[in-house]
Amino acid sequence: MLSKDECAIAAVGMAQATCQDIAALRKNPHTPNPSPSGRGESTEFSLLKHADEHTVVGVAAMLCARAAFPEDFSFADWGVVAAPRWPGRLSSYAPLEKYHREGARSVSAMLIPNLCLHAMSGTVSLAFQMRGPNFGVGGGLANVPDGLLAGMVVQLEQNLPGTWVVLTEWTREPFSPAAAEGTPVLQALALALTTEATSAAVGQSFLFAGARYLRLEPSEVLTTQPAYPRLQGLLDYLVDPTDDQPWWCALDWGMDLVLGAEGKE
Amino acid sequence: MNQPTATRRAGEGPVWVTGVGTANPLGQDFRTVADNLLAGRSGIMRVTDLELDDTSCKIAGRIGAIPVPLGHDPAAFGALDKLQQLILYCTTQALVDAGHWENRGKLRVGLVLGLGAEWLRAWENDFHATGGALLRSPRGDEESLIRIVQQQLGLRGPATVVAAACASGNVALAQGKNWLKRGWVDVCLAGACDMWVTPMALASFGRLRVLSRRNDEPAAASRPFDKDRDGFVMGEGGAVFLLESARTARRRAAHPYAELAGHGATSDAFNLVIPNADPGPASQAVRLALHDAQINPDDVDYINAHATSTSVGDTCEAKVIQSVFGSSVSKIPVSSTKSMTGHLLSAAAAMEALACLIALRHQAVPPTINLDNPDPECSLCHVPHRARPQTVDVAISNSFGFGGNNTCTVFRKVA
Repeated sequence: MLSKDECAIAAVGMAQATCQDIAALRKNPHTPNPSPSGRGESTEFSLLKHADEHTVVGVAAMLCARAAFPEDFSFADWGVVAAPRWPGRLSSYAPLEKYHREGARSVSAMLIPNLCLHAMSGTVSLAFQMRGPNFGVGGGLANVPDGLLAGMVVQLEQNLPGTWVVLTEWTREPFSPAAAEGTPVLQALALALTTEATSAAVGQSFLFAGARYLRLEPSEVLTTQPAYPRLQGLLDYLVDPTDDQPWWCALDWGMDLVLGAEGKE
Repeated sequence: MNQPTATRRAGEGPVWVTGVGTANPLGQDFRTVADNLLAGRSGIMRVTDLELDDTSCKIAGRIGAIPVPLGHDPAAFGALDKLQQLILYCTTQALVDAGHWENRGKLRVGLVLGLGAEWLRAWENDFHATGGALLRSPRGDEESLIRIVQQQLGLRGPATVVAAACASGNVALAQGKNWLKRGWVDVCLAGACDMWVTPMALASFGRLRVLSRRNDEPAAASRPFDKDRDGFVMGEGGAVFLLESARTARRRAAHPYAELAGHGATSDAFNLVIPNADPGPASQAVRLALHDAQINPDDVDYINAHATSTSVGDTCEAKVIQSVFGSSVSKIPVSSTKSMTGHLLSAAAAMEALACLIALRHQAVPPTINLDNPDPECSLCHVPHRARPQTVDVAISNSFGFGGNNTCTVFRKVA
């Protein structure tokens, strides 16, 4: 039984890529995470041609998570909340340089639709044919708690069968394609938030084993500092959930975001 | 799409708007904006402070210097970036207007702001000024403006930015209302601000061929639903609203502008930029909002249209309105206030929420100016040129955006 401020986690998908990897992912986001079902979706992802790097890797994480669902599962009524950390940094550098060299005529029409904070949620909604609400959230240091909290609110308040939360960030911020070669890695996490009713309706078999709930609960220790957890910590927990402690994030307004598996605490 | 549950949870009640803060092309307080909006005045002008030699559109809805809000040092305020000034001004004004300025430190005050391009704008402005120092040195942009403003105002509560393109303000209002319903905040500031009239934004929208080229007649350039429209005109500004439960507002004898009665949101899943010619998904957003407000289409007295003045968008929205309201479409007045303000992008929905509050407060429907020859493809009950005095108990605001976003918000007069 879920509590008042709690969602079930039905599936989790992760992806990561360096700048060099992203070029290949843009053409086929299945590259690092081949779909177990073998569904060949690469052609439908021509919409990634102009997409920001965050969107490309976010879609790859979505594909990975989707593989956990039955093949004929429909996401048509689902919503999506995307929380990239500083979207557009890498993609905006070259256009700005070009604008200063060549003027307004050099600026791409695709710049605004693909680099704004709402770009990833819109693209995911389109790519996966989801007609529930979609919006971006955060955009800065607090992208992880902002994304989780917003996804939880949408799921709890809008009577949807499910809500995707997609979180992305670079391990180290790159500033231009040349300088980004090498170590910086763009990481992405896709979480499928659902209600118990939805989970029951489609069977429990796809529920993610390592983390089954996302919950907001009163803090035991009050903090006045804003919470800026890195995505890496959440990925580490999800990759190796053997630790008895759930992942948690103390918010600066007297509440904690907690992600864990029932009965593990 | 599932229908929202009609039964409200125990302990829930209506959410009221009890404070407004705004700076937009029509003014910097509720009364001035209302006067200009109902008088049908245009806030569109020639852009003279940017180098736009080879940009096709050289006009926009601009805001002048932003006044120093209560409680802020003039010198320090004057040194801030203008977007930060705008957010501080709107949030402070909303708190003051609602009567919560003095006691804000004792409340859990939420802050949710629609803002789609905070960083892109900052990086662009910095690139023009320094050649890209901020982009090359990511440490410079560690804090988001919303966190800075939250700290400057001394607010305790959740704070976040949401972005649904031109529908961001409606999403922010919905999030704020939901935070209140869940008991996470005592009151919530919700709205949107945007200051993205920049060379790159003008150039990119221009390349999309969605901007008007009527540079020689700025006040006549934004003409939603008109047969001779040739694109939208960008605008800047914002509006922030103080939301609180009717129960607490009544207890302190606050004067509400309206009840924030309902919200609906869907996605087209059709195209990132082009609106869906099938009115189905957008109509569903409007229906969800009416259902959430527990009203019928016939109960609506005024529709503030998203209508931006583009050929495709206005026609699609007319089909949406016709689809939802059926035979009543000939009786329910529709106007697009973007004809006067321009398109405030992320802040558009917040600006148009304000227009709805003005309609409810003044019992008059704002006009669509420049609507000289209504497009026969947009057959609606237009309000051209002049405001129409009439009873307005329920007003709705449609806002659609890139990414296939469809939203609708319902406001109801408080008896």
